[in-house]
Amino acid sequence: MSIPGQKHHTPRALAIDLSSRGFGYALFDSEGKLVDWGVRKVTGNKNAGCLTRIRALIRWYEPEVIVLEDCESGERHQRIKELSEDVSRLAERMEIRVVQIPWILVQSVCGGSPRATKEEIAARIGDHFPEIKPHLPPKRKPWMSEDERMSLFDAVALAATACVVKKRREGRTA
Amino acid sequence: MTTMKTYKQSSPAVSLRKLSHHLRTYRKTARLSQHELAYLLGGGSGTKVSRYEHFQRVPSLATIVAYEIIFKESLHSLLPGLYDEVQERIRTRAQQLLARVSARKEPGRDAKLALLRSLIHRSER
Repeated sequence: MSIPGQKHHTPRALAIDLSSRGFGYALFDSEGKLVDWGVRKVTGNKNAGCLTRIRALIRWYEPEVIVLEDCESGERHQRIKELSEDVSRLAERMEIRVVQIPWILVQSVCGGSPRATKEEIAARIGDHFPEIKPHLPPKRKPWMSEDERMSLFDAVALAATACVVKKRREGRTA
Repeated sequence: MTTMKTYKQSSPAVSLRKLSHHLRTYRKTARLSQHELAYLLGGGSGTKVSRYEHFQRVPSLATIVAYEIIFKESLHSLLPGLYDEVQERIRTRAQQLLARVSARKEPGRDAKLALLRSLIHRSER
């Protein structure tokens, strides 16, 4: 499945959602089709481990854009903020454009409301991308920590939001 | 409303290149492990499949045919980037050949010209 309204010939985009256990990622090709996705769990030195795996993804897929969450505007752990900066610096060194999306924008675009929950966003993403729907985690109970598979849906949501924002910008400048 | 932030002010020209293949996409959509797919492909370990998927090894023709059979997808869907690359090369050569054949008088020329024009037209779509 593709991102709705995606034009042909758009940059190949690698969206990465950084989490406490590693990261989720989603790769969209130049036609907006979801071509790879996954969750990577990292132990030990998490930032270094994540960077190594992200570097490998970039080498395999040679994305033209990397999409990350804008950690500065949200309440993310200091380690995640540092990792996000590291990923951005890595992308800059490799001359890859970085786009950072505030989570509130993802909630509005993918969840339909700035107060949309992650479960609601993931459910909508799963409906639109049936190839990843089987990975939808069960509804979280109050005593549960966030399922690691959620970062996969967060990554897809970041990419979809970046695409929608780009389209709106193009509409305004046209 | 907060705006999208980018690190690079000048974005590079949009590249039209596609991924050379989508072999990993189809395997993951079918929820097959690399080991399971390797078994379907006729032996070998999941490592071989991993090498195909990470662009470290080019699958043989027989393996590509096997992928087409397993996933019921065309070559164009399985190998979009490679397909487009080969198509572009053929289109260039077809245009050159069209010019050469057009300048000659020979039996069967019209059939050749029709084929070449059709080929060029199809590859431009």
